Amino acid sequence: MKKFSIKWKASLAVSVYILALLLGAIFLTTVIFEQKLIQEKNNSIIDTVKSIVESYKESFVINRLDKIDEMIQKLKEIPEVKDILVLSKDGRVIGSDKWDYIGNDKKDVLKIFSNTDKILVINNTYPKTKLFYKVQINGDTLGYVVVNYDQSLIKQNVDDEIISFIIQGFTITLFVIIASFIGTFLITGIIIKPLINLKEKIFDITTKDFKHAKILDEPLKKDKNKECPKNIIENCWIVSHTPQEDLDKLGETAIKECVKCEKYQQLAKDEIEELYFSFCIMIASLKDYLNKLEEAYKEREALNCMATMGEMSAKIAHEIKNALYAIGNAATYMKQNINNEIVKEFSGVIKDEVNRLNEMTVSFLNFSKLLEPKFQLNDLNEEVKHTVKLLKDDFDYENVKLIVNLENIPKFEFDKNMIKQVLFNMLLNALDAVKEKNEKEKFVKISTYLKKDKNNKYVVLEIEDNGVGIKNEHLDKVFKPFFTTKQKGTGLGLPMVYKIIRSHNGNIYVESEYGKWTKFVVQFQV
Amino acid sequence: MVRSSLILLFFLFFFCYSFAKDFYTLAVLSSEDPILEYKRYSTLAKYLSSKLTKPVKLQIVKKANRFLTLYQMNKIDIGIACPVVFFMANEKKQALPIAFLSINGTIFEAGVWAVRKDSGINSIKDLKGKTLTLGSSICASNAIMPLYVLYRIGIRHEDLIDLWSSGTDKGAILNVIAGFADGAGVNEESFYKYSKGKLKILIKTPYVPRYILFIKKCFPEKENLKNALFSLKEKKILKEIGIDGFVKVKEKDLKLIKNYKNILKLYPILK
Repeated sequence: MKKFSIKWKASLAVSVYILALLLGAIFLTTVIFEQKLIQEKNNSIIDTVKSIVESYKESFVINRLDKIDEMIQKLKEIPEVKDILVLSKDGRVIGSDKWDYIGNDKKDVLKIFSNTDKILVINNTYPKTKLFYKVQINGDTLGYVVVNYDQSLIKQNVDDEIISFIIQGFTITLFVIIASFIGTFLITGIIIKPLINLKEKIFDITTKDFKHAKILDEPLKKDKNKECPKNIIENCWIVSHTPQEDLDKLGETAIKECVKCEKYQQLAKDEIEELYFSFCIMIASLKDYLNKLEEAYKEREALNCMATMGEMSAKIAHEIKNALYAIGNAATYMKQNINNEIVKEFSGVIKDEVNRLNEMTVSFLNFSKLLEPKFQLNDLNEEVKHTVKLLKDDFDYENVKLIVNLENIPKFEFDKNMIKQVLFNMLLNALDAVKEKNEKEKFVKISTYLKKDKNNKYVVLEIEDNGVGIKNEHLDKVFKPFFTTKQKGTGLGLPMVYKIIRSHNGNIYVESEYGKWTKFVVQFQV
Repeated sequence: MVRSSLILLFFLFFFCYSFAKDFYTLAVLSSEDPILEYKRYSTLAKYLSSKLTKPVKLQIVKKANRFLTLYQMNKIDIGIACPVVFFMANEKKQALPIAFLSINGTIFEAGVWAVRKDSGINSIKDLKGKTLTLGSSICASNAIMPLYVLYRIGIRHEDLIDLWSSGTDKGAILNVIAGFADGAGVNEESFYKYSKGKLKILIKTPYVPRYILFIKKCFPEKENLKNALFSLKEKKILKEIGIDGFVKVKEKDLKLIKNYKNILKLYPILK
């Protein structure tokens, strides 16, 4: 079947609908009105006959047969009338359209009035109808008029009228259909124009580089007020002069926020425009998702690489650990059994370095191990207090103020030892950061609180310091293994923290201003 | 004597002109369809307007009595009617006959006595003791002349059961066909038009002029009018008027009609 556009389909559908409607109306009108018209025509003939005869009553009084003949001629002008007889009161024919009858005796015709006082008697024997009309003045009969007319002619005339009506109806129908077809075609064209634009955009996107596809070149709508009502972006992308850039900035936020926005609802005139806006938002969100997916892919690749390296490192570290064990034992033996100061001193150095390497190797091994947290219902505030208590001396020694701000938070399931490791690591990192800076009032602040949104609750742990801060370019690397800015660091502390938090389905991020402050934020969904 | 005659003539002249109007009235006594007659004679009125010094206005009059009343009241300057009406008008106020109207090549028409073919009446004499009707009560061809024929053969009013006027020739013929009358005195042309083979002619009356155009005696443009009428040869105008032309009046043509009163006295007709 041939493919039709929406315009053609809509126009044809409307035309067919109107055609059916009008044909139905014409058919019903024809059926209903045929009998009514026939009845009206009959009544009209009777009224006309009565009216003509009454106007010639005087001719009966003075016996003016020429006038009666004139009356007959007028009656004959009624198309359906076939025969006319005019009788004197004694039943003699005094007028007829056929002069042969004039003078004849037709008393038998008058029998129809014998049993009735009516002045008009109608005798119907289809297709012939006879009207018997008594011409009277003050009850005195002056004569009779008998009119014979043809019902079939009436029907034929009515049918002719109906056919004429149908022809007119069809002409009007044709005109209406053509007009409605053109009207619908044009209106549908206007209505579906945004849909066609949408189709073209989709086609553009599918044929071009999706990530860099630009579907919005100019403002979708004109509005003096360009502000975003929700303040999530400077300009509302629908009315902005750079809609694509603004929408890309919004990314997946658009799908959450813009659809509910009042301005969005106001600017979209109808469902099709709303669809078009939604499409733009969907594309922007898709781009955003793709970017994130790409990042995730890269991260996964890096992690895979790391995992392989970790595995290898673990094997190497195990071998090194064995060797270090032997070296350490040898150094201890030499220190204890060889009485030479130089040997003793170097044996001590060897022992120290072996210990340091051993610690590092243990860290490698720990990091490379698969974490299997033992979840139990615990109180995070208690763990914080305990850790703070253990580290208090270190902070006091370095003259760093440790501010603890713990709000009421619910207990939740976590691995106590692992979280303690996280706390130690992060607090010591903070202490290192403030140690490096010559600040008069050095502080590290640890706080916990409960955060809620529509659907979820989170326990938030924040560790903030006014230390040296992190350079912008290092912010996205701090959780990557082996990245360190410390001279003696392994670069595995924060990656381990990240690993533990993720194993608790938590989230961690860092905010910092280089040279001024750093804040780590950990969120656990409860 | 001469002096008093001059004074009388002066007063007569003054009287005529004291009633002078800005137009002349041409009145036609209708004998057919008034609308058709108006169309026909309006052409004549226009023609005469162009020939006379004053415009001519046309008036169609249906009844003879009304025609005569208007004439008596000086409301008619030029009249066209049947010869009997002319004589009646002349009796009321002196009228001058100017011309006969020639139609289908003749100025004359005749009347007939007609009866049903199956009536058993075969001779005019058989009308004695019968019921008769006439096409009119006044006109020459369908009243005066049929009565004249009865008079000539010796049938008097008292020899008839009834005698009345049907108003029109058609009415008279229908009365005979319907059996209300035994015989009808009608115009010869009407007989052929309406009898439709059901009637037969018993006798035809002598010919008499059909229409006569006359004026009142003090009409000021008598000669102008005569010249206009007798010089009218233009076929288009004549065709529109429905005549062949105008023919000068001869006294002998009116001789029979002149005595109409005597006939009517003998046969009082029920109208």
